Amino acid sequence: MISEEMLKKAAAEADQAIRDSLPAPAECEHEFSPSFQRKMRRTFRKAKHPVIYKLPKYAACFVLAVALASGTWLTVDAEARAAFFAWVREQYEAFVEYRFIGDAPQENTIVEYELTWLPEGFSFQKAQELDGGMYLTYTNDSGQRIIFSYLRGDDAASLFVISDYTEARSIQVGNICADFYQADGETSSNMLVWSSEENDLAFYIMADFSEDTMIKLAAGVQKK
Amino acid sequence: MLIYMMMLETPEEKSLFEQIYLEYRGLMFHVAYEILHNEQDAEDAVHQAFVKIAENIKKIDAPVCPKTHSYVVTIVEHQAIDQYRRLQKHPSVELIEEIQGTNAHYEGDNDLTKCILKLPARYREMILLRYHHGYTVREIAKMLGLSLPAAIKLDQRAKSKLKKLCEEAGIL
Repeated sequence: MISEEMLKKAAAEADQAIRDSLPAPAECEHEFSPSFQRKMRRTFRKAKHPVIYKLPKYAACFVLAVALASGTWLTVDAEARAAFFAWVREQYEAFVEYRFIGDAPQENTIVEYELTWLPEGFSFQKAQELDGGMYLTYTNDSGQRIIFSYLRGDDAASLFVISDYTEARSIQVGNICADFYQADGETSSNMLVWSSEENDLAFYIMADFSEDTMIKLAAGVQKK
Repeated sequence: MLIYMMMLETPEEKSLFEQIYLEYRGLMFHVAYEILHNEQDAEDAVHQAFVKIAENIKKIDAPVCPKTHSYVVTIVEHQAIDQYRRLQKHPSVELIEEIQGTNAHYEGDNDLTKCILKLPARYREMILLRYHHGYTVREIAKMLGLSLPAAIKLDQRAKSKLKKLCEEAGIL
């Protein structure tokens, strides 16, 4: 019989043996590729203008904005970058990044939007101002929540979705293309994301509703 | 690829992450390269490891200490094996779970330690994270990017394999 204490002691020794078998960190010199360094530079630059971390934690694990231009998702290429500003989508193994490219209109104030249609029992609870956007919460008596948020594109705007959704598909909200992310049903909510017709704002709604209800919510988004 | 920095909430956390990055990136590349034997793939694994480290930055107390040292090695080894799996045309769970990972030399006399070091990397990582670092299976699932059921299964397999090695060594 092996006790937990024995296991802990042996695990600590094994851990020490592994560290002792590796070179010291200071001895491990490697010249990282320009590609890797670019990612890091961009990382540190963006860290100075964070957006996502201002959202509540539970939302941050399943948050995204949408990349949409002329009714289609952009892939990142030089021509697209040069032609106009837009939200672009990049798919990675474990997450999707949506980031803004180009020069957005320089406006200091952001137009306020709201959900004009809500499922029965829901009402507006609170609004939080983000750096370049808003984060609105709607609740019902049972504690269910609808999150509606939007962000203005600028050089620092970049949002992510972690792969805890089971399916992502393109849908229409009126004449605008949007993406619906079906959550796994346990830890996340469904997401619907799209951008404004001018491509300067990214919208998303997060709630535990069906695709049809999410579309109805999105269709009701209007300027205040 | 910015997800990790965007997950850091306070200036202290950013500083912690930056220090970890500066201190261990070379070592992490070394560990990844030993598994992948390709610089680009190893850099990708290092990057993915930093994503996971940032996601779990609150689990790290100090940037330069033995615990953080072994933690980053464990995380990058896991990511490198993941990267290896992605590069295989026909990966199988059995094959991936047999990869040995970082070679360790142990000259002590604790037979149980020897058995842990004989474990395939996937199983050894689970044992070390659970019994040395003290994380729960749920926490480990998050830091390794596994679903909870997958982590539970990995935990069971790791313990089962360790038991078998202990029986062979005459410990049980």
